[in-house]
This record gives sequence, structure tokens and C-alpha cells, in this order.
Amino acid sequence: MPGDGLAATSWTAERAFAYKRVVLWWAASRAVVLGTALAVQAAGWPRPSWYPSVASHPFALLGAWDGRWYRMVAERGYLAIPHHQSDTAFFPLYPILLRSLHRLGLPVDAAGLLVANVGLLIGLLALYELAREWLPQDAAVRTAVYAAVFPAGYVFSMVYPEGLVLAAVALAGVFAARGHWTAAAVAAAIGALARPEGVFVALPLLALAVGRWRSLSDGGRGRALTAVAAAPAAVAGLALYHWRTFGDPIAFSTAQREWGRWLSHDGVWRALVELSRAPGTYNVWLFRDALVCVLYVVLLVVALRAGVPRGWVASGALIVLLPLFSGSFTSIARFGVLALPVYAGLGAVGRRPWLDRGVLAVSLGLLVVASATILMRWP
Amino acid sequence: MTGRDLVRGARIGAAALAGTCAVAGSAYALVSTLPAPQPDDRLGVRILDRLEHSRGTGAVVDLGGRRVHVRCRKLPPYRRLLTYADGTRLALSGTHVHRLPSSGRQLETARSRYPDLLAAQADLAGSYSLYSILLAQRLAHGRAIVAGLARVRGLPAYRIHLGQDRPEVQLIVDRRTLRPLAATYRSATLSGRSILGAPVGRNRWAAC
Repeated sequence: MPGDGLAATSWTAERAFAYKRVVLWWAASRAVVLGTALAVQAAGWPRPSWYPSVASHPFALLGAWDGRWYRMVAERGYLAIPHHQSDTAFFPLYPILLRSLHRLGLPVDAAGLLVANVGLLIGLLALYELAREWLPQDAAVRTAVYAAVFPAGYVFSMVYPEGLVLAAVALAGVFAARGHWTAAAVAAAIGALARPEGVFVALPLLALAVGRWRSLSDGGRGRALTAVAAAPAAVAGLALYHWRTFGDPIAFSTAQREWGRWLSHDGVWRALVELSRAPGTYNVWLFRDALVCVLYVVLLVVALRAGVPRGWVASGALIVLLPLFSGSFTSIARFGVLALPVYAGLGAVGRRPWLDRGVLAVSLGLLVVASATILMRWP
Repeated sequence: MTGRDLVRGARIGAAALAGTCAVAGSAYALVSTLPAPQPDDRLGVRILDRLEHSRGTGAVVDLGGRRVHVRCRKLPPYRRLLTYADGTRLALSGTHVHRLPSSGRQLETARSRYPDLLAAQADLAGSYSLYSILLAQRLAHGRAIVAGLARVRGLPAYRIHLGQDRPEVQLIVDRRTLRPLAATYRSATLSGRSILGAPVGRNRWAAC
């Protein structure tokens, strides 16, 4: 089995080669995103009159949209404004890191880009290690490389927490697979405190803990249960803060209503109705998210057939499909970049050299397009 | 299951519970390192709540050297109608305002002199819905809320910033009840103030 025994943790030539490849693709893909953002900014595309503040400093484009909210939380903390869009919708760990780095002298935007891009690098290496537990070596390398160039992955280079969460969730999986339950608990808590999707890592950790229950010592069982509960517990800590500060334990969810999102049994229907009305309006961009959503589902099925554990696939399915119950396809492309089995599914698909080259070429092309159109539609 | 198994299970459960509580406590402590909402921001939220639970009926506006009464009411389906006593009629939709055809002339003559007259007329007319949007925008952007203290007809009051800083629009609210009392407008070319009418319930037709 890949990942078993000493080979899983020792440094081998195979692993060194894989790391080198992943780091190179990380650097290449980030050069593509950052370069495109710079070029778009310099050209004032699509219109110089749009968002004049975007030209204020290099890479300001990458701090657009939710980046503004994260900056605000970093600078002044939370403020719940009833019946209006509020920063309580944004999870706290990423702005806390921005705030800490700002205190060390980094501008907030620069701190945001640093955390996001370094988080992605750590996340890709951890994803490779995790994929080694699921797939053969060459497919594991492809999994991480495809994650680096994935078109929706331009958000990993924005002032967004996705890079940090990718690293946390993948590390939680790697640590748990190797029996380091305390480290897995810390990583899971970090993921859940940075994005709501992070909480779904509890599912694969639960599956791992159940699968290894008999072989665990009493202490190991306690630590495994803690790791399983860590992500929901971190969210509970956040809920406690919101309750004490604003009297609303789910202020992060309440605020989402002002963006037109709320969970309900007819959410999928509302999402489809919204999609059907999108042609001919500014909302036509919804089709981008809807298409990527379908791609995610297909890749999750491929991942399941390729041997990715069901707990991970279920976690990925929840990340991709649960937002539909809030009534919109909006941003599902971004939410889904945290569904790790999607990349494993893609890694399994690209086993033929021509397919591998095709996936890389198409992904890089779409990555340029997606990075260039950041101002036209929020991710 | 023996008593020993039960003790083992309880120990595992207790360890897991302790670990889980430690994670939740750490998360809480970490979030608490963010600055707590400032008193001025909390005041802004309370004023916003006040504005959203009642409606203004109009005002007496001092603008461009003239004093004019203005009434405010709903204009179906979602706009507000501001009717000045000189016949000027404005339709307000969110923060957008446009002039409706009217026979009024008195302030019309000032239009050529004051390019921002329309904005000033809207800002001073006593529309709570407009004030709540402008205040919410300010809160959401993290801008300063309290401009200072004032007295209106002997009542101690707060001066509250609204919207952007230019032009400078301020709402003056009673310090005790947070009831809106007056509004001021100041730009590079024009300044004015208004005394606001008494608030009514938010579902009243002749209010906005």
C-alpha cells in the first residue's frame, strides 16, 4: 500500500523529485496569476474607470472583493450590523494572521498575499503526501501539480484564506493518516477557523479514527476523538465569541443572508431558478460556477472509483454541493478548490502523457483567463 | 461489557472532551485577540436600529439662503417621494435621487449656482431610509461614526457622520433616545441644515 510504513515518512529520491516538481509548478502557476494581475492592472483592463483604487499599488487587484472585508476585520475586528452586509460573515484566523504580520511591519495586503501563496505551497506539498496515501506515486504528483494550475486556483493568490485552509486540511489528513492525532487536531482547528468548509475535514478524520480504532491505545483513542471533534470545536469557539460580543452565536451565518444566501430545503431549486434567469443579465457569470460545479461532481466520482477513501469524497461532496442549498451557484468554483479529492480525480484522469499535457495546457490557459477577469466577477 | 471497560471508556471520553474543550477555548481566545467593537461603532449600530424601526415625516430645510418645508412619503413600489413646499419634487431610490417634473421655481433658480443642490435637498429632507443606508455604508467601511457632540433646542445630541466625507453629511440625534433631530450638509459650494419632523411607525404611508 502506498504510504504504509517507513517509506511514508522517510526522505526518498522519489519524494525529493516529487517535491521539486510540485514546487516548480507552484512557482510557475503563481507567476502566471501574479503576472496576469500585474498586466491587467497596468493595462487598466477592462476599463480604467473601474475601481480606481485597484491601480493604487502593485497586485492591488488581488486584494479586491472579499479581500476588503478580511482587511477590515484585521484592522478593526468584527462589527455585526443587523440587516446589512457585515464582516462577521468572514472567519477570523486569516485576518488574525494578517494583523499579526502587519504588526511586524508588513502592509496588510502584502501579508495577505504572503499567507495565501505560502499557504498554497505548503498545501500542495501536503496534498501530495495525502494523495500518496490514496493513489500511486505518479498520480499523487499529478494531483498536487493539477491543484497548482487549477483554473479556479487564482483565489489561492488573492487576499483570501483558501491557501491557508488547503494547507490546514491537507496537513490534518496527512497527520491523521500517520497517527499524529494531536497535530491533526491542531491542523483541523486551523482550517475550520479560517473557512467554514474546513469543518468538513471532521468526516475523513472520523472515518480514519473508526478504521483504526482497534489498533489504537487508550490515549490514542482520546487523541483521535479530539482530532475528529477539533474542527467543529473551533467553530464552537468562534460561535461563543459571537454570542458574547453580538448576542448571536451564528452571526457568521446570519450575515450571509444579506448576500442573499440562506440554507433551506428548496435552496437547490432557488439556485436553478436563479441560473435560468441569468442569461442576458450581469449574472450570466453564474454559468461559470455551475459548469465548474458539474466538473467537481464528475471528478469526485472519478476520485471515488480511483480509490480515494469515501470519507474524503463525502467531505468534498459536502463542500461542493451544500452551498447549493443556500440558493445560488455563486462562488461554488471557489468553494470547491478546497475539495481535495477533486484534484485526486484529475490526477487519476491524467495518467496518459497526452492527457497530462492537455490538462496542464488547458488549466494554465484558463488560469490566465480567470486571473484576468477578477474585476468582472467576484470569485 | 465489564466495569473495567466502562472505566476505560469513560477515561477515553473524558480525555477527548478535555481536548475538545481545549480546542474550543483556544479558538475563543484567539478570536478575542481581534479588537472588540468600539463604543462609537456600537452607538452607530444602535442608531441604525432606531432608523430602521421608524420613519421620518419630513423637515424644515434651510438651504441656499431659503427656509422651505419638505414632506416625505412612500412612492410605490420601492421609492420615496420628497415634496418641497416650493413645488420641487424628488424621487429617492436607495441613495439615488432624481428630480420629478414640478411647477416649483424658488429653489430651481439655485440649481445653476449649486451643482450639488439635488444631493443636498435629498440629504436634508429627513428620510430615515436614506440615513440608514448612508450610516450602514459608513459602518461597513469602518469609517469614523461620531463627529462630536451638539445641542439642539437644548437637548444634548451626538453629531453622526453619514456616507462619504465629501460632501460632509451629518445626522444629529438625541443622546438619550437616539431620535434623529436634525441634519446638516456641507460641500465646497453649498451648506445647509434641517430640523427633522417627529418620527412615526415604519409602516406609515406618509413617511419614509
